[in-house]
Amino acid sequence: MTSSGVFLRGNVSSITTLLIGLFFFLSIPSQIGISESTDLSGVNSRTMPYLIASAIILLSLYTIVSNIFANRKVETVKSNDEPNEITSYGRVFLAFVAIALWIVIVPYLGFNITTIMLVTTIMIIIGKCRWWQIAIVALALSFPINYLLAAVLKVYLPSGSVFG
Amino acid sequence: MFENFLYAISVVFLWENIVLIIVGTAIGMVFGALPGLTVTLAVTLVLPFTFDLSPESGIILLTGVYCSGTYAGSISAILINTPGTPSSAATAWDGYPLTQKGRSLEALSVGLHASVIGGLISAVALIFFAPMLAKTALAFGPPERFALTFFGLTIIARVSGVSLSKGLISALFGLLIASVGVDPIMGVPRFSFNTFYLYGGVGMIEVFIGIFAIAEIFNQIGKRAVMAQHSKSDSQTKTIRWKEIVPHYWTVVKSSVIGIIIGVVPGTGGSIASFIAYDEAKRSSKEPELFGKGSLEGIAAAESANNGVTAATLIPTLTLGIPGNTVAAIFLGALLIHGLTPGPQLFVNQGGLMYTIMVSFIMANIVMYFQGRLALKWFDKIVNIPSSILLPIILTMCLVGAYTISNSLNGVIVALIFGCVGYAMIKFEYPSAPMVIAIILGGMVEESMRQSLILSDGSPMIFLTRPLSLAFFVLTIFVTFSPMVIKQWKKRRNGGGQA
Repeated sequence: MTSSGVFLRGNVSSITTLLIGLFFFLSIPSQIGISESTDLSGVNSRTMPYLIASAIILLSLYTIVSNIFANRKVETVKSNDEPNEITSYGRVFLAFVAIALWIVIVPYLGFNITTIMLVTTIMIIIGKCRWWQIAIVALALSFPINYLLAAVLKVYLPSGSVFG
Repeated sequence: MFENFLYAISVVFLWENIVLIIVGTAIGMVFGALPGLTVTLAVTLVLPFTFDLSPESGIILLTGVYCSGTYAGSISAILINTPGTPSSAATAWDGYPLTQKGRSLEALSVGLHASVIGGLISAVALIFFAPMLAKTALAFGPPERFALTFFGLTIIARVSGVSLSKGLISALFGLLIASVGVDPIMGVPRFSFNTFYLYGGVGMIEVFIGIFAIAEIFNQIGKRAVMAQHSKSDSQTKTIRWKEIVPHYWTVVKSSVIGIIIGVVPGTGGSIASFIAYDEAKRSSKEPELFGKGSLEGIAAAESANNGVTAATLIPTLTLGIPGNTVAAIFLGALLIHGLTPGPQLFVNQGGLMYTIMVSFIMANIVMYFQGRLALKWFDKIVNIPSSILLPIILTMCLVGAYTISNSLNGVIVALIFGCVGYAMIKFEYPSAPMVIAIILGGMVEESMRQSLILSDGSPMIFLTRPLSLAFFVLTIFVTFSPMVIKQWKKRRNGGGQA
């Protein structure tokens, strides 16, 4: 891997926090208005967000710089380490998509059907379960929860415009 | 004080509140016993269901979940060598070797008794010390409040992760999230991005559900966690007895006090307490060679310490508004949702509620003891529920919980976004506790800072000219830089020694 690649890989989180800090810092004038009549002693609605965003930028820069120095020190002794734990980001992404789709579809198909679909998908993504387990868990988490919330707590989950 | 105490007893012993404690302890026990599920997750998921209850009943339910969840982490630690909660890690060192020797019930028995005693001593400490501290805190003005919250956030950032800068960045993002919505002093909208939902700020509970629960679900799915099968225990054949704890009585008391002292310090928690108490028990034990190989004394020390933290951590939460750990932060959130502002005034205005919390801790520990005894036979089965069944159940509870808060899908969207944020934080080793606590304290930090600056006509010297405020800032600097100075000093000394 090239040195710039190593730099990006080691600092991806700090670069992200730096960019988010910069984004919030630059968006303060457009996102937070100030009223001159209520501007007391130079302290206004923008003071705290400016302080916080500046601190995030400074700390992110500090982390990046200290990582560079730390990498230089360990570069000579570092071997081809294998990660201890393999993470399947594909499965995490599929789970995210399944939840996002639940949010999109639930107003149309209602809680029961979308929850059956979601639970089935998640159980298939995780794996190591039988079809009857999927059927029981999916059914148990949809209709009974919907009924219990409505009957006991008077909380009504979406019934769906298609069926409603 | 006495009237408040009587009021608290009359409230806690209402039949509906007793039912809530029983339900709460049962939920906490199941969550605590299952590896990968935490007490924080349990309290977060139960929180939306307290909105329809009175503040007293809501807090009673949460107390039950908290106390038994903290204890139940020891069950899976002892039976399958997998701590149900991080604070039970020390319990596994001695608990599992005992299970392998066929003495699991003895280990579980000591764990239960030590937890109950630790929890009860902690509750008594809360009853006696919280009102005293609240009286002192009444003298705090805006500069002192700002300095104190600043100190609390720094110490939480310092101790909750491997890197101070990551802890501080996490806390700063929490403050940034807290600033979203209408400015509390001037009424100006901030970071709303022309979205009506954000005018009210980012929902606290939705953020908790995202960061703690959905992030953990992603983490478990990514890791493809499978619950390990454990060896058959002897829980069917014996009963739990008090006599097993008697030889370790002094260890239990000492470890409970260690738990209380550590619990009072914001940002610490059961994990640190249990390791320190375990270490101290080993140091002073007559049989230190048994530690790590199956010492009942080791289990007693670790369990009484982590339960000693439970009520003690609420002392700074209730009196100063500084949560001791993430569960205390959620308690704080629950009080705010019910329209109660934590701090010394709460003891003046809501004395009855304060004592209800304290008495409910005692009650929760008693209920937990009987439930623990009854449920022990079933734990073998519970801890073996596969993650393929467990995770969809928790996910559905998260989605329902996030929806019910605002009765709209906006809450679910926020929870999902923060689930992704929380997952990224896990992967990049950013601690979530400082962020969550900063979200809760954000309003107080900003309000006290701006009030102070208005009082001083914009001069920041107000924070350094008032003795208490100055003391907190000096403490903040000490806490932040002392570990670095000590590290450098040790490095130089070792270097000098070698040369």
